[in-house]
Amino acid sequence: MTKILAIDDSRTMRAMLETALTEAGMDVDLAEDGVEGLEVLPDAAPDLVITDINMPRLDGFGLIEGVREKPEYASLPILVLTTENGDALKQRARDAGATGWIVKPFDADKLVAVINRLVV
Amino acid sequence: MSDLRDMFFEECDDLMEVLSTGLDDLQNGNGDAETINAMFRSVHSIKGGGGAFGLDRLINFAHAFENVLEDLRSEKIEADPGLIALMFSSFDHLSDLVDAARDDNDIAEDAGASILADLKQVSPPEDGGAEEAEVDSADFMPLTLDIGGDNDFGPLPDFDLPPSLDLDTDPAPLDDLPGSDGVSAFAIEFSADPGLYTRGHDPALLFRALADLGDVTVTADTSNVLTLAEAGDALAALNWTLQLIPNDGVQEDDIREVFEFVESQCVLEVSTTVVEKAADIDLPELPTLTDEVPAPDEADTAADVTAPTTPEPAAKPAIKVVEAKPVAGKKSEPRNSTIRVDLDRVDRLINLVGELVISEAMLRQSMNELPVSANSSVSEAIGQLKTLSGVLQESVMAIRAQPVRGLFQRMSRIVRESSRTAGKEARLLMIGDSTEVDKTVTERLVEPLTHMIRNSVDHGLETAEDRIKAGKPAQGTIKLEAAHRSGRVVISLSDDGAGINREKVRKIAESKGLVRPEDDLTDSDIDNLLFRPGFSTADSISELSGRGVGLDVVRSEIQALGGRINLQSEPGKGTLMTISLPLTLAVMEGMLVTIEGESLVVPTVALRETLQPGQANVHEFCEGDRGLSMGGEILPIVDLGEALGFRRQLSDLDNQALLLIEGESGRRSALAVDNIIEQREVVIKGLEQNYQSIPGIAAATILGNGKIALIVDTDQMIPAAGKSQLSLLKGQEHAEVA
Repeated sequence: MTKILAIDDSRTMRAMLETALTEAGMDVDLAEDGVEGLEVLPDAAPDLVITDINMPRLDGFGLIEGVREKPEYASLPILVLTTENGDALKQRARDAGATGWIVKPFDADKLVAVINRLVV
Repeated sequence: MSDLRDMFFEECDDLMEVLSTGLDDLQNGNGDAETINAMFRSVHSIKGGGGAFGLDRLINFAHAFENVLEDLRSEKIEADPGLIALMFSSFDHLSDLVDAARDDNDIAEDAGASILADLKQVSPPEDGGAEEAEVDSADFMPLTLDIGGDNDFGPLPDFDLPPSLDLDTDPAPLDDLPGSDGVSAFAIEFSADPGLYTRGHDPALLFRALADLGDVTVTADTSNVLTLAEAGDALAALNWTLQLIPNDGVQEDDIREVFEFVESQCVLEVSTTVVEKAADIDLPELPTLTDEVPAPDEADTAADVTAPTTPEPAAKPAIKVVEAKPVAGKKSEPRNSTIRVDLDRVDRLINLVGELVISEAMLRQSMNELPVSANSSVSEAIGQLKTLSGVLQESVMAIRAQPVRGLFQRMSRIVRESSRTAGKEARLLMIGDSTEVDKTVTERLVEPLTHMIRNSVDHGLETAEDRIKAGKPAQGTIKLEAAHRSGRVVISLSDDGAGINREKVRKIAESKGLVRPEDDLTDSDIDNLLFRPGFSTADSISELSGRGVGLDVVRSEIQALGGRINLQSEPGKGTLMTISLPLTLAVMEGMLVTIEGESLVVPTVALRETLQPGQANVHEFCEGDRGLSMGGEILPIVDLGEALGFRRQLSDLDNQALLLIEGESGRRSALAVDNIIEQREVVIKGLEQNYQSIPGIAAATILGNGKIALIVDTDQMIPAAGKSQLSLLKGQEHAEVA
């Protein structure tokens, strides 16, 4: 089963991600911000990470950098959730090491399709 | 979906609270970078959630608000008083939009238009702004996540293309082309940057995605591949040539979309070509790169290797610089983990615990009637049960406790609105907003507090000119304060206005027959006349606090919560209103007494002293009125049995016990009862649902023996100044009718 770690400080967004991904038969772990995301990462051992950008304590960029710092996660796919389709933001996310991005509000089917494209 | 929607609006409440706290901090000069960050995130999350539910107006406004906060965050603009005022208005409007969306209400088309315009003036919307223009636009494509949906690997369409066809310039779908000599195909040249692997991409997966679009042939050019020892990021030396014979409707854009996330980390060339008929092509096994070649796992090798076929990606230095430093400092920060529970379940639990407390009391009472030694193990166990059920009750009550912050923040809006309407300048100062109170109490305080604040702005505060004349700052201050004090919650509202004009109040009260000209009234008596039904000092009903209701309504609402309200005023200095509330609505401390064999409970909050009357200090006046002399003061004695209609007035009080009680106004009286049994905690059972409001009775409770005891409304047992105790309850009724 595909294991996803979804990180977002909005509980509505977390619930949406959980619903969409669970319905697609995926196993979902949740975290509320970057710090918690890094904390639960070893236990969650996800196949893919989805993260919000604007979060307290540690934002999405910081999270991605924190993940990529660890050799064992060097090739872990990380999708960024953004509200803007702004190129500057995407560039920043990619500079930090993001694999791809999803624009909110997301379409559940498309999200699942993108994940399936990135996970072995 | 409706669950998610509810969740979203609940979250909005929390986010608005964060926003409101941030605004207050900014205004009071306590704001820092994180304040603005938190505000930004709140508006951002509201916008994000709004998007999921298609709340366009909310999104648009939140977006403009967010832009201002973003500029504030990046220090492009400064939080000067003008901007803070604009943000307060924006907060109010955003709050309206959230409410309207929640209730599915329409909000006037032009509402908030000027605020929106102001926000856009401060931070113009960024379309094609300089920041975005820096990025090579060819680098990205508009996002469409749909990967085509056609996963059919069935037989290919049998197309024959004319040899002369110029496929390079023809944007038409390939499969529309007629032909006979071969099938159209895409030729794809792909070589990956090192950065592609370090961002979680895998060429094999990209090729797999391509396979969804048609028949793929992959050829890897391994001529540049180093030995594993030399490798590392030199993986980029792998180049691939792919050939895709597309499924129906697949176009070049669909192929580029597969590479959407990696376009800046690879060299990708897609062209069209014509190949031999499909029948000749065997689909080879896709290479599984992950098995054959390890992804680079030594971060330090990254810098040394230069990819031969592509420019050095700009990403590397950025990764190094940031080092995820926010993690280090804050990682150990404790987090309160929470769950969300339906309030009904909590209430059910509270009720059950209440019943448990009653059962425990019944058990204890039965035990006392049994010949059991106080040292027996049964008694010990019962004692432990009492302690445990007490702790259990306290813990359950704590579930319902909520900080008053949300309530206070709603009031901050009331101050803004009412001061604007009244043409006065006012600010709200909030103290102790983390004080926790029963959720129902905070909810039911909204109306009375709103009314009190409007009253303060309308009648308490002076106009700016008058204030300056009086040597005060032009802006009036309204202070809202919450604190726990001796087992109760005390919420006080004060203003630095003109105070109560007692002369005027008294004149009005006399003209309305509330007091007689000859009555001797203390300042406090006069101040508290404002709470009497039908009293209003406003010469004309103002838009705000008029509305035909006076502070008497506020008082009855507070009383319905088991609370008291008191008012103090100092001419020229201001007015202070104090609300004192029980921590919970479900349980209270009471003194159990009996009258004519009936059990009654007198709330301990009102109780000051219990005493046995010696003949010497009871004085008899006309009409059967009696008084108790206490330290030079004479307090009215109320025969509780008579006041509640249990019996005629007793001719002497020798065998009676007296309970000295004090009411809201600070006035006191002595209640005569037959016997005082004990002080105990009682679970309050409301009567109003079944019996309406009963004069003199606040509620009822069930005693340990299963019998019902009425809880006395002590405030109604204190005669008003100059009134005979006989008119106690009748007077109240009469006043309410008036």
